Amino acid sequence: MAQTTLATSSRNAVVEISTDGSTWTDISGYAQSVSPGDGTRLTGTAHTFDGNGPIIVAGKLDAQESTVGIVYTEDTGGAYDRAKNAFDSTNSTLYLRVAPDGNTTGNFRFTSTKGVITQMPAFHELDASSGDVQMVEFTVQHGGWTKAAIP
Amino acid sequence: MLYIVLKPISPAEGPIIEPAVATADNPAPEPVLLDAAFFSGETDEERAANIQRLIEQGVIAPFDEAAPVAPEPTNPDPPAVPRRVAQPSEE
Repeated sequence: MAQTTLATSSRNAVVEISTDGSTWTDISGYAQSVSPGDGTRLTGTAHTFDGNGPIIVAGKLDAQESTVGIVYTEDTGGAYDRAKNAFDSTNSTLYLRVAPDGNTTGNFRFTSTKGVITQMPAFHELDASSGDVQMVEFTVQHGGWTKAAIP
Repeated sequence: MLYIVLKPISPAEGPIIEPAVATADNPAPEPVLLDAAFFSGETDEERAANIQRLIEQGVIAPFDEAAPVAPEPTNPDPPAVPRRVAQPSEE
């Protein structure tokens, strides 16, 4: 195959969160990074007396953990405020949605299944000797991503 | 104009729209249809271009709106000249 001319960077990515999987909030102005998770399938192996290699069988898709890095801010309705409120809710439910190449018609948008925020630090690790922007990373465990086209 | 959903579509709001999938219980499901107004585009030309892009990507396809053959409605204005009645052959 000839070298592709379609490669892109993640500079146009759009990151959204939702507590109901229907109404979405674009947090691209706060989000710096998204780690989608491993996306693995459970497997099982067994060796038998006959044969040399193992028998390998496929199980279900495994749960995966996605990590989102956001700028820590104290505005109401900002990414930190929304994620922290979701974490503090009874079930810590959160859905993630990411368009790696941006919200242009025909591009892919990946939507997580209903997830649970499993890690949400209260604030950034404070360091008086640092001039870095305060960042917070939260983790959502979910059942995987669904790829769909942007209409 | 209606379009059949062939691959999952992610609208700005709401859940993902999945295409109809045949199952053992329902081998011929009703197609999932979307109106042209559903698709993004600030102008008709822009919307048409976006729809065309999705068609080329195999995400949607134009829906043939030709309805199944239905009985013709009663003609309220019958022809002024009565139709000729078929005559039996003289042979």
